[in-house]
This record gives sequence, C-alpha cells and structure tokens, in this order.
Amino acid sequence: MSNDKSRTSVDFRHDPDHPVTLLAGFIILFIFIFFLSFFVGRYPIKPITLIKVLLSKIFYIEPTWPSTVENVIFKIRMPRILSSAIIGGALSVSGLAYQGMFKNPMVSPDVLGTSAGAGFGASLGILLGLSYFSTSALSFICGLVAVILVTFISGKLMNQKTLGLILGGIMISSIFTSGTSFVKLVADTDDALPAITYWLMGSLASVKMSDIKFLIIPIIIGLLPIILLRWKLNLLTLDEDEAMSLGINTILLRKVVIFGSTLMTAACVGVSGHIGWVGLVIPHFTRMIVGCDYRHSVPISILMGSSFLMLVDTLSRTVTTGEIPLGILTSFIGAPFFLYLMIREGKK
Amino acid sequence: MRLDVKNLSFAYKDHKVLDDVSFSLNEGEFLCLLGKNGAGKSTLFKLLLGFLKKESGEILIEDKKLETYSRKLLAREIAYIPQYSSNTFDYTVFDTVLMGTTCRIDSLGSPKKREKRIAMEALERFNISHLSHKLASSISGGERQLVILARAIAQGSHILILDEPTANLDYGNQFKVMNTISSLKDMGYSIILSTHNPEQALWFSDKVMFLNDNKILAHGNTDDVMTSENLKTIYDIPIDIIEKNGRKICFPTLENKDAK
Repeated sequence: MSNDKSRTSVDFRHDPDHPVTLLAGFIILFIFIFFLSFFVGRYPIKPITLIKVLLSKIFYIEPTWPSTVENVIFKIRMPRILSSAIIGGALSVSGLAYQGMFKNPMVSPDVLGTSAGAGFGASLGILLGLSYFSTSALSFICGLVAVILVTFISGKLMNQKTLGLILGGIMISSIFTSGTSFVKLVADTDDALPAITYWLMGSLASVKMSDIKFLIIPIIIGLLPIILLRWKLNLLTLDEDEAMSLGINTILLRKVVIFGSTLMTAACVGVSGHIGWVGLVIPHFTRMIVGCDYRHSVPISILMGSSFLMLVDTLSRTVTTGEIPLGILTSFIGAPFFLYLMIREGKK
Repeated sequence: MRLDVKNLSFAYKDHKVLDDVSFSLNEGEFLCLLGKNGAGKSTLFKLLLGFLKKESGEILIEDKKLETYSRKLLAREIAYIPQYSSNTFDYTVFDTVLMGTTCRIDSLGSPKKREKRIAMEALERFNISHLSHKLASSISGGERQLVILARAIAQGSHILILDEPTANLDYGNQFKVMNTISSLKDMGYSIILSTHNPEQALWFSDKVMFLNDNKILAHGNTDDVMTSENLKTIYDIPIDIIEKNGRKICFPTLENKDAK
C-alpha cells in the first residue's frame, strides 16, 4: 500500500502528458496576470476599454476613450509589464541553469556574485556617462568576471565545492558591492548618484519602451543556447567523469551555459537594477512542481518567473500611494519563502 | 569490440602512476583488475575513458586510436560505471537511464520515442522496469547500481568499464550485481572491472590482471594467475586459495593466532 502511495506521488513527473497540461496551465496564468496588470493601478482601466485600445492598434476603432488612457496603457504600463515579464523569466531560467551546472540548488545569479558584478559594471557606466550599449557591455563583463572568479575559488577547494561557491560568492559580491559604493561616493550628487541609488534598489518605475530592446536582444542570445541544450543540462548535474563518459563535452557546455546565464542576468541588472531572490526561489518551486528534467523545467520556470515578477511589480505600484522598489518586495517575499522551503526540505 | 593497450605510461607531474602497461581485452571477455589502493587502477580507467591524456603508448579500440574519437563517438564504444553515482537533483529512474542515450542523439536534440524505447528495454533487461517512475533517491543501493548498468546498456556501447561497482553494496547485493554483470559477458559485452574482493575475480572473470607498483605483475587466465604468491605480493598478507565443492575461495592467514 505504502509502495503504491509513493508511486503515485511521483508518477506525474514521468507522465508525458502532465508537463503539457502544466504548461498550458502556466500559460493561462501568465496571460491572466498580464492583463490583470493593465487594469489595476492609480488610474483604473476597464477591461473593455483595454481590449478596445489594444484592438485599435490593429483595426480601426472610433476612439471613445480619453487620450490619457492610451498614454497610461502604452507609455506607462506596457513597458513595465513587458520588462517585468522578460526579467522575471530570464532571472529564473538563469538561476535554474546555474544550479544544474554547479550541481548545487543553493546557487543563483545573486549567490554567485553575477548580480553584484553586473551592478558594479552598470553603475560605473552611469558614472562615466557611457552610452546605454557600453553600460550594458560593461555590466556583462563585470558579471562574467564575478562568476569566473567564484568558479575559480570553488575549484581550489576540491572537497568543499559548495562551501567554496557560497563563500566565494559572498566574497566576490562584497568586493563588487564595495566597488559600487565607491562609485556612489565619487558620483555627482545631483545627477549620477540619485540615478545609481534608485536604480540599484531594483525598480521598473522609469522603464521606457525603448529600454525593451536592450533587454530583449541579449536575453534572446542568452536564452537560445539554454533552450536548445536543455536535455544536455540534465547531464551536467552528474559527476564530471560520468557526464563525459555519456558523451558530452562538459567544458564547452559549461562555458556556453555560463555565457548565456550571465548575459541574461547582466541585461536584467542593466535595466532594472538588483532584483534579488527570483533566480533562487522560482527554480526551486519549478522543480517541486515539474521535477528536475530541464526539458520541462526550462519553459515552466520562464512562465512562472515572468508571472511572479509581473505580479510583484503590479503590487509594487499599487499597494501604497508611493512606489516601492521592486527589489525590496522580491526580498520580502522571496527570503521568507526560501526559508520555508529549506525547513520543508530539512524535515524530509 | 576489442580493446588494445600498448606500452601505456602516465605520470601526475613527477609521480609515475603507470609504467609500460600492455594488455588486450577481447570481445565477450571479462577481465578483473586487482591491485592495492594507489596501484593505478583508477588512473588506467581514466586513460581508457579519455579523461586523462596519456604520456606515451597507445590505446586502440577496434584498431582505431582513442584520440581519434570524439566524446560522443567514444561514449558509443565505451561505457563507464562508477563506484557510486549520486546526483544532488533527484531524477526518476527512467530519466537516469534515458541519459545513456545522449550519445545517440543530435547535439541539440532531445530523446525521442526511439530513445525512450531503448531506455525501457534496458530497464527490462535487468528486471527493474517497475522502478521506472521512482525517484533515484527512493531506491536501494543495489537497485541504483542496476539502474547505472541499464544506463550503460542504453548507451549502446560494447565495452564496459566498472570501477569497483560493488564497493558500496551489502554482501547479498554485491553477489546479485556481480551475477548481473557476468550475464552481460554472455551477451557479448567486453568487461573490465576493478575490485578489492579477489573472490569476485575467482568466481566471475575469465582473465585477471594484477597491477603492482605501477606495472602489470601478472595477466592471464584466472586459474593461472590467481595464485597465493601473486595475492601475497599484492596485499602483503599470506592468502591461501582453497577449493570447496568445485569453487575456489580466498583464505587469508590471520597473524593473530587467537583470532577466530
């Protein structure tokens, strides 16, 4: 009897139809939150008006709404909703890829220092008054340097790689965060400093439609190899020798995954500043629902991360009369939730 | 599938680990590798699997040099079964076996119906298809080794390298797993297995190779080379080999005469 019970409890992970049903469910959830985010806000918009306004872009519809409505939808809400969806999905899938590749469910773009490195690069870019493209490139390079340094440190601690990764991550993050503090110290207090400070807290309040392309291009470049190689990511979770014996070039694959994940993280940090916890919590949640297989967890984590961040961003602009930076809210939600997951795992 | 090793040498920096090792493994042959800790058994395996680059000598698979194989092609010829396979992430038994088919699919592809059928057949071959839905963490150590064997079969390779595959198993499971491995020999698989249990060599293998001080001490038919002298040289204790009911067992002489 107990045997039967344990079988049913894991059966769904193997049922080939199940991920399809789940995927459909998450797509519906995504669409629901996507539209919900348009309706709510300080300027309420009726669902019918939204549909009319959106359709008016494709078909000719006699405008029965004030022009403010169109501005709110396309200039204010659309960029925020799109960017939160893209960033949420990208951070989640980066975390998911990093975790498998480092064979460690406790790592994420934050833990590995990628976010801190990318943050330093971007703030340096703002300080130096670089163009958007150069700032993003600098952010990516610093993020990459951070991951490479952390990987190098953990490699030196042969028998304690997990500890090495986490301690290395703390150390490298701390160095880059100090670097960012130094940038803030020397930044112009009227212009650059407020820009850096507010952006570092993690916010999408000032995102414009023109920012989306800086987000979407690097994210597509980073995401594509992860989607294409999602089956092989499963093999990276094995011991190095085993993975190689099964016929994969682990060194090349690891480089590709680091490149892709870091590029996505840096692009996100470049646009939204530091939004923590998404890359750690969502992958955990994904595995709880769909199992470890990357063929299923990659699409589900993207949808779940997108939906989560859209929802949190909508909350950040509606729960108080002011605007709560997104990074603060994701920490308030992410940290306790992660603690719950840890205790739950510990009890097993 | 035939494997030839000629004058193979390897050193970690200045520390010589293998010195002029030559041997052959014929199709359908079961070769047991014995030697104390640090004799170079694992290093030999790492060289055969291409994890380490040899210093000198040659490794040939069907007369083709090992270096000419890509990782993927090599995985189609040689499969590796480690002492213990663990994963932080909990995959199902079926997915674990399915990973074996990776060397048979496109670089950017995922397993399709054909690969799934291969994985299921591999599970059926070891009578563990009922475990396919279970998570790897929820099965016993003996079952896990069978799953790893099934994964190796799913690779479709015909040379199996097993590095102390029963070291972490209880007495009963050691015997069961060895029996299963032995049955693969009859299906034409060439097997090279390292062990610290000389009886496994006596009972299951066709040939035995002793590694001692980085060199081959003896290599030949099990009955010819499994002698008290060779065992004493390797393990530094007197060991008698006695025969009972047509089966040989090792009988170490205890230094403490009072010991029972």
